Amino acid sequence: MATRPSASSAADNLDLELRRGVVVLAVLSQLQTEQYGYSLKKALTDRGLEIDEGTLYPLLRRLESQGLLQSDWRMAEARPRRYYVISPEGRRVYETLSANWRALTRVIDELVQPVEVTDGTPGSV
Amino acid sequence: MEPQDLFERYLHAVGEQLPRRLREDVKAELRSLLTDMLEDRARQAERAPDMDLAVAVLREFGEPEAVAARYRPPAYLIGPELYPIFSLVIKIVLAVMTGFGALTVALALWRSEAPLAELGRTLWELGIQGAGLALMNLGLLVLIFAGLQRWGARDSADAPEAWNPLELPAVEDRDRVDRGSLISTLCFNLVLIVVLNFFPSLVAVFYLHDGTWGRFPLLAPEFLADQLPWFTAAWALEAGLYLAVLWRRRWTALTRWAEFGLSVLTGVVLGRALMGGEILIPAILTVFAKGVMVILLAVNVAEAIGQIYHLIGRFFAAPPAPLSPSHR
Repeated sequence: MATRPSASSAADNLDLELRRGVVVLAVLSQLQTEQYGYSLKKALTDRGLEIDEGTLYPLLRRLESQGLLQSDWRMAEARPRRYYVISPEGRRVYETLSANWRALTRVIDELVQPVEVTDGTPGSV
Repeated sequence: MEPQDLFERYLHAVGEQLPRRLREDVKAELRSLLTDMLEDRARQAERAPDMDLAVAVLREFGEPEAVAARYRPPAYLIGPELYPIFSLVIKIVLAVMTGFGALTVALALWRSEAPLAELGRTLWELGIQGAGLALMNLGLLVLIFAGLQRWGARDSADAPEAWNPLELPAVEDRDRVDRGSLISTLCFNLVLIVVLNFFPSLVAVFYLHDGTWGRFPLLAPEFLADQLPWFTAAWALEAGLYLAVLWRRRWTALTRWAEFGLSVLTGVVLGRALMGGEILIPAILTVFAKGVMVILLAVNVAEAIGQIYHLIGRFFAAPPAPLSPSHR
């Protein structure tokens, strides 16, 4: 018999899924100018979006293989670094995703308005 | 050991688990990222990069297996698209094997004249052979489906666009009782039991000779003595089962298992009659009757396989949800 995950672990998993959905948009937004992997992670963290290395770096490669990013190796501070930047195709996708995101957040904001409970009766507001 | 040496060990461990075509590229990128992280941590700690910082960086990065897994494309032995078909085929194969296995055991029990200890050994050997055969078939199926997954699985993006929801099959409620079918079979069985056991002379060719009726019995005395009691038992048990089902108004797991057991018994009875002596007289009619029995036996085996297939499915299925009003 399958064991049901605890409420907190279910919340953690759902939070992870939620973030996974928006991380592509966040990455594309920060790669309008070229960055190497660690500088991108720092940029996202500095703006309040924590993404673990295990998610971010494989994602960069996947987006590159999908043609949304371009990369090249370059010598910087006496060692090679891979720099990523959004491609023309990635820019088009980014514009579409940004518009969808703005529309989606408007709808979701409406949906997740806090419900005011007045008398404790189930269903009452 | 220097931090870079530790990083090289880590990169080697990650690289070992990556496809060869990705390996060097991913390792080069990870090397660069780890060095960036280490330098950043050293800057924050206001000291030179050392082993403690390198260990902390690697811990944060994660175990080599987990890191490599994130870089690998998803790989399945049998993926989610093929798994439902794989599961269906496994159930069919198990049902066929169980059906034939049950018939084999029943026939072995029937024909065996060996003492009980000898019989136990035979059954044990049959069980071992059956288990070996089942494992071999399962392994073969896994190989076939793994091959399909690797070389032939259809991309979900290629799904046909001409799919028509109106062609969906109606939902079948297998446990609903078909009263008409059960009652007619029950009556037919009772008629057979009564006529063949109490009035066997009615099964005859009637002829008019010199103004008087005569008859030529068709049932061979050998059949009436040796086979009919077994047919009678099978028909009576079937009638009893159908009565129970009609009384309960619904098939249950227990009655479905009883139905499967009856199918096995019917198979044994038919097999016994096929291997036995005359059924009808003259002998040419016995050939015809045995031909019909072969067809009946084949239908019976197919039915038994279908029954065990559904019973296995029922065994693994979740408890049924309450029926919607349209299904009541």
